[in-house]
Amino acid sequence: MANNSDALFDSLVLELRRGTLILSVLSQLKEQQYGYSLIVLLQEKGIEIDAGTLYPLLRRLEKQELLESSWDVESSKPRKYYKMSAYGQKIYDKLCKHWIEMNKRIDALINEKEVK
Amino acid sequence: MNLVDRYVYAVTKRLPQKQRDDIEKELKTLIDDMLENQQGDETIEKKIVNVLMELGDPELMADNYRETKRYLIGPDNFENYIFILKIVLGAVFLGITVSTIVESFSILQQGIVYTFARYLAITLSALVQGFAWVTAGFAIAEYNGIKLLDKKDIKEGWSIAELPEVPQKEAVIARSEIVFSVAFSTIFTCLLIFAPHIFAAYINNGSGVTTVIPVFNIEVLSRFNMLVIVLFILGVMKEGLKLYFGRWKLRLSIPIITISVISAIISVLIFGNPDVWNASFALEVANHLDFTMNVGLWNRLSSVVIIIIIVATVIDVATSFYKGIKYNS
Repeated sequence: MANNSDALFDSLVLELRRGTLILSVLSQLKEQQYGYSLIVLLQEKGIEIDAGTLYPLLRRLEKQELLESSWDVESSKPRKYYKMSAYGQKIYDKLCKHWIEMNKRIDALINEKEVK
Repeated sequence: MNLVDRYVYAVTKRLPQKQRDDIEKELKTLIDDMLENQQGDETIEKKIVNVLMELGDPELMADNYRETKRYLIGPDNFENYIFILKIVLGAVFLGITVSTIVESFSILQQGIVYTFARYLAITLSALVQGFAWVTAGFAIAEYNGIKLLDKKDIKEGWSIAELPEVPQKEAVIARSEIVFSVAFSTIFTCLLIFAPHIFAAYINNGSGVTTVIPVFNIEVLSRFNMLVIVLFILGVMKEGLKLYFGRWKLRLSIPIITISVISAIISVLIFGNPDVWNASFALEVANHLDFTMNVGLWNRLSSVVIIIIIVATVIDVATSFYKGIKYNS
């Protein structure tokens, strides 16, 4: 039973995190990064994301035209660099506003409960 | 590096061809980077294992890369699939059972054990085939048909005005009609494939001996088994479409009419072929009943059958078209 509720908790946390990942990723792509450097960068700032999630996500965001990519073939290892597009920047600004607003409301909800 | 190659392959083999090269390069560089970042004095082999374990199940990784879910039969159609499947399997069971009972009384008197064993074998084989062909029909529809039909429905935005009118009673396609159609075509297909000899004249000459004169030339007919099955799949698809829409409208009528016409052509190919029929049927019946009948009519049977198929198809097409237009609100 305890095991079960742990698994449930984990899956709920995962669900919560899922929505914030895009915001986290976009926030770090004002400068161009390749996949692994982005993982390290996010890790340093306390956001854990595994490659199996990040790489496909980058591809999806590129397909949605929020990111632009370019291959660097000059160094010994071919690397695909991603950077936020102008359109991505616009969407990102809007998302941030939305996020702040949402945070305020959720905070209000949670605190209201604690007072009782 | 062998393990790395195997890992990358395990991911990319599950992905569409055109993405593979790109993702392969990407993953290899990633694994390289991760390896460089592994501190400690473990052997390189151990480090590779660590990195790959960290990346996790390649199947899950591939799932993340592949955005669209792949279905044989999607959630939209699953209910209908089960519904049709139940009817077909039920009808297969019924058809084989009834035909076995009829046979055991009239044709084969080969003992109960033999009859029962044969019954079990045929039932099992027919149930498996019924299951397979229905699934195939729905899978084909899933892959092409329904997607095409639905394209208009998938668009951005949605307005109250788009809510469909609750259809008039007459426009609603009764489930009983679908059940009947599917059951009938299943039983007919079953009999044609597993017990074609059951279509016969049974003549009792009074002394207890029953003479059986088959209507079909069974050997020739069995060469058309594949077409009979195609006919069955088309029939199931047609009823499946009716089930999917649930009501008459022009967008339903058009595929229904197309299927009807194709089915008619296939029917003509099978039953319009004079060789499929037992050429001496009329003669033998006449002999056994001791009267002369116009054998010439039987010889022109295939032409008669073609005419019947065409007339039935014309009626079917006209009705579908009429209902589609009338209730297309």
